[in-house]
Amino acid sequence: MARVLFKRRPTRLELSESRPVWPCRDFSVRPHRNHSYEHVASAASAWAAYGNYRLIWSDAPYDDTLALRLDGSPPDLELVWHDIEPIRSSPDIDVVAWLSSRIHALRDLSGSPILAAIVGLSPEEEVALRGLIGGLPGVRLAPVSDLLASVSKPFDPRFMKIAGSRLSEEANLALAKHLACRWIPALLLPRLKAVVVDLDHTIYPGVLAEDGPDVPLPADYSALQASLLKLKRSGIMLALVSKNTPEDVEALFSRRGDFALGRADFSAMEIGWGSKAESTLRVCQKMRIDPSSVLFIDDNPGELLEVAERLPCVSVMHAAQDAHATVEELEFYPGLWTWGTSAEDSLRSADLEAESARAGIRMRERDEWAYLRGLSPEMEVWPNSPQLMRRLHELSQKTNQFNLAIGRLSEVQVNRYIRSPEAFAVAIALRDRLSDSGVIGAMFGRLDGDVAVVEEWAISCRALGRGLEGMMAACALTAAAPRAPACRFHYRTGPRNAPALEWLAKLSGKKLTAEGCVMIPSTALPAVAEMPFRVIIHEDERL
Amino acid sequence: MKDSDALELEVARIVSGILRVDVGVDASRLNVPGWDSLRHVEILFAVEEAYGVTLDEAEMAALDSVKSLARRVSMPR
Repeated sequence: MARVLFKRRPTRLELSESRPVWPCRDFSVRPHRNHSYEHVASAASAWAAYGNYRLIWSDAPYDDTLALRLDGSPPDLELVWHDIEPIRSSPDIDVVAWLSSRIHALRDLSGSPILAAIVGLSPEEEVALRGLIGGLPGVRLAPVSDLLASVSKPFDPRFMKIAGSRLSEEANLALAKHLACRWIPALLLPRLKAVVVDLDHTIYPGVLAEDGPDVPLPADYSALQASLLKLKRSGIMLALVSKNTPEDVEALFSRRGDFALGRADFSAMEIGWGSKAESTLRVCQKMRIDPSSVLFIDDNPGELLEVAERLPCVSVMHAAQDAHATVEELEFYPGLWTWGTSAEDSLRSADLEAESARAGIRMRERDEWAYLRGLSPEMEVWPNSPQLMRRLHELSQKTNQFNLAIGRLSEVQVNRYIRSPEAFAVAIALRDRLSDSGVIGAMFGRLDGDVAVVEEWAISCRALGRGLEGMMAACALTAAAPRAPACRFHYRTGPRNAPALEWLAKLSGKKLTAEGCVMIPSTALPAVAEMPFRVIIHEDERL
Repeated sequence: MKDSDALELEVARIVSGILRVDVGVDASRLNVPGWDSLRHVEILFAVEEAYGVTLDEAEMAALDSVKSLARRVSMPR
C-alpha cells in the first residue's frame, strides 16, 4: 500500500483500490464549505488508513456566508473548507478580515479543533490571516497557497459545474495527501517522538561488515539522511538499531564526513546481534519514551515483522531500495509532521545526553540534597500564561509516564484553565548546569473553597528521575494557590502512568484505586523557601 | 489499437475500482445504484488519467455508461 500512496503521482483508481484491512480509529469531521470537499475526502481516505484512522464526514450544505451551522454532537474536527473566489465579487468585503471574523466566531461556538483550508488566498493574504487567527486555541490555517503553487495546474474550470469545485484533480490529490498525512494527524494525533533506523541498506546501500566504512552513499540515500536530520531538528529523536559490531559503527561515523548524519545525531544506539525488538525496547528506555511513540525503519522485512509482532505498538516502515521512496514516505508519515517546532523540541536531544551525566552525579552523592546542589538546578514557574498555551497542551497530550489524570486536554480546554478566574494552569521550566530542559511540567486545576483541586498534573519524561516531582508540585501550587492549606489531586490509572501514581501514593501514604482523588495538606509538600536551588515564580498574567 | 470489447472491459474495471463494486460492460448511471454524481466525477478523473484524454464539459455529463466512456476514449484525443 505504501508503494502506491507514496509514489510520485498515485492515480485516483489506485487510491480507490487501496483499502484498509486493519481496524482504524474514527475521527468525525464537520465541514463548513462553499465548494466540494468530497473528491478530496475520498482520495484522503487511503492515506488516512495508512495512518490507522478514518474520517467520518458529516453532511454540509454549500454556504458562501460561512453561517456556521453546528448541528449534532461536537465533531473531532471542524474543517473550514472555503474557496474565497466567490466572496471576492463583493467589492466591500475585506476577505482576510471576514475570514478571521468567521473563524473567531467558530472558535467561540465550538470546542473542537479547527482546521481552515482556504483556496484562493494569495500568499500575503494567507500570512495576514495566520497572523489574525494563529493565536486562537486549537486553530490552524493550512498552507494551501504554497501547496497549490507547487502543483502544475491547480484549477480546472471544466469541473466547476459538475464537481462543485474549480480544483483540478492534481490539486485534489495533493490536498488529500497533505490533509490526511500532515495537517489532520498533526492536529488530532500525538506526534511520534523518535525514529529508530537500521544501518545497512537503510541509510546507505551497502553492508558495513563487508564494504567497511567506505560503504556507498548515492544521492538518494544522502537525501534520506538529510530528511532524518531535518526530523531531528524538528524535535524527533533519532536512534540506531543495527546488527553490526560497535567498533565498525564507530569507525563508520568517524570516517564518513560526507554523511549528513553523525554519531552525535543519535540519542541512543543498540549495536549487536540480538533481537531488534529487544534492541528497540532498550533504545526506548534510553530515550525515556514509550515504544508506541516510535517509528522503526529497516530494509529487512523479517526484522520489520519481528518488531511488529513483538512490539505491536511500534510503527514500522520498510526502507525501499529506491531511497527516494523512503524519503517521500518519511516526509508524509502521519505523526511526524508538525505545525511548528517549539523551543522544547530543539532542547530534547541535548537534555537526554545530559541525563547520563546526572546519573553519574547521583551515583557519587549519597545525600539527595547534595546531589541536587551538585546539579545547581533552577526552576521557573509561570501561572496562567497564554503564551505557553501550546506547550501546556503538548504536555497534557504527550506525557505518558507522569500524567496523573490523563485528561488529554485540548487547546480550547487548556485556554479555559488559563483564562477562567476560578481555574489555573501552571507551566514549569527546569534547567541545571548540565542542560536546559525548557518547559517540562504542566499543572491544571481550580479552587474549591480554599482547596486547590489539581485536575491534571503532567511532567515530561525527560525531567523524571531527578527527584524533583514533589518540589515542582509545590512550586506550581505556590504560584497558583499560595494560600491553599490543602490540595486534592485527581488521578486515573492508565496503561503507562505508574510513575505518577506511585509518586502520589508515596506522597499521600494511601493506596490508590483505579480512579479517584487524594487530599493532601500543603505542608506535606516541600517548602519552596527551603529548596536547595533557585525558584523563580512569575506573576500571574491574569492579575 | 485495442478492440472495443477489450476497451469496454478496461473501462468497466476502472468504474468498478472507483465504485468499489464489480460492474460489467453494460453498467451505466441508470442501472448501478452507487454511480451517483460524486462518483461520476471520480470516474471521469480516473478515465482522463488512464487514457490521457481531456473531456469537455458537455461530454462530462453525457458519458454516463461504460460503453459510452469506452467509445469516447477510443476516439482521437
